[in-house]
Amino acid sequence: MSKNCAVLDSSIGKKVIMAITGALLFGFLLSHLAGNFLMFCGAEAYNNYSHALVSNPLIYVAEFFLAAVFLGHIINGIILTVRNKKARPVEYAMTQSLGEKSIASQTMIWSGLIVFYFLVIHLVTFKFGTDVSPASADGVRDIYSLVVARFSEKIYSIFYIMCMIMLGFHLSHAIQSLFRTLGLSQPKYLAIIKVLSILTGIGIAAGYCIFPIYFGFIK
Amino acid sequence: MNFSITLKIWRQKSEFDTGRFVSYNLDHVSPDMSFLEMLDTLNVQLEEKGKETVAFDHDCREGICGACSLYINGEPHGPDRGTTTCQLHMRRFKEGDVIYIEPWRAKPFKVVKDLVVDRSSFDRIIQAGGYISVNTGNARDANAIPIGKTKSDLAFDAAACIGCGACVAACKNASAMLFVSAKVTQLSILPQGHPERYDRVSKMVSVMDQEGFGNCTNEGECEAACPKEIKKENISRLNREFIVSKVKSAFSS
Repeated sequence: MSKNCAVLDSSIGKKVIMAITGALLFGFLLSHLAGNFLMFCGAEAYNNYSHALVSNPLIYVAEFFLAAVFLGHIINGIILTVRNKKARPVEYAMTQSLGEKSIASQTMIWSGLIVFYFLVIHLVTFKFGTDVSPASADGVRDIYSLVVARFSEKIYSIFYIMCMIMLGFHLSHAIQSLFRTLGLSQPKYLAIIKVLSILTGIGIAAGYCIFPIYFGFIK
Repeated sequence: MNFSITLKIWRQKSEFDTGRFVSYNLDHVSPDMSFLEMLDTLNVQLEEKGKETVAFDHDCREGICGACSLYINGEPHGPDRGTTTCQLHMRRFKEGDVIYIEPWRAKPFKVVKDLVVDRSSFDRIIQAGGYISVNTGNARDANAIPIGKTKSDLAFDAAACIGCGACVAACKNASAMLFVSAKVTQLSILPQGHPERYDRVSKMVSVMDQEGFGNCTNEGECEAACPKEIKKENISRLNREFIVSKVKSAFSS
């Protein structure tokens, strides 16, 4: 194995990959959420924004990069989980929680896989989904109507909300873990980082849940 | 007042045996006994009955050597924080208690017999880089290099690690990162250990991985279980040292 591959395969190397790809994905979540808020500016604004994104030739580069980051995060996460399980072949008959172990921290792989499942459904529904109304003469896709139509199905909205809660759960441990893995946390700031991590998880989940709640249950 | 307890002890003939819990009733347990003295008492009784005694690690029985282990009722070194098993006393238990005693469980800590595990993987990590190669002189030279209070305290706190393996036992991933980070911190932040710091962290992490320990998921169980209260901030420092070491080596070649 070459020197660089060995670094990427090492325990800390893998953790660093998780942290960096996680940070990039968090950036994506923020920009996606910001875009979502255009839904409140009306169909035209949202559709034009969506059109501007997909009609930019750089979108292919961005999508390739994003897919690579997603895969890097998921594959590394699975490898780390498998290695961690292998490190303890015989389980204890009795264990007690002594430190900061939480439900979120212990179920990162499952909340992550649920979010991945959601991502596949999300892409099939919206990116590759059948439009409810045809594109306009200048080729602008009516993604707004598609989103409103999907969210008006209560079952879909509930599924979406549940997945976003899982995402928030994942983030509540992920953000603080990111700082600690990259060696950026100082003891005096750790308590603040942990609180911010939980608030970020709640904030992102709440931010994304606004849309299914508004279009599915209020409007 | 003396009391009776039930012990559920992990018995395993060798590394190749699957192992099982065996139940023992022990009467007349004095609250003044240490936990290990209680096991000694059980062993005397087993010996008198011509049965195989329970194997467990112990040495100084003063809480400083790191030989004793035991995962007692789901906690490494038992219910008291900041102490080793040998400093645990039976006054922490009461009449009728059922006490589960298990060995440290991790792939690199193979069970030798019953509650005794092979912790030589820690020795191999130390051999990889847990030393300094420069000549530091004699004892009288110790104060020749002035070291700031903050750094010396940090190094001293990390040096308190006795290498017992409770961190590995407590971690849900059987990660040895608290142990390795304590050694890296102790040596790397002092001037004497400074010249080899990046080479050291790289080699120690490499051996840690080869031994088959898991990865830290930042849950702090290790710090809570550590009898010497080694801080988890050391793991952040280990990560930082490792990242800098690899970045430096990438640019130097």
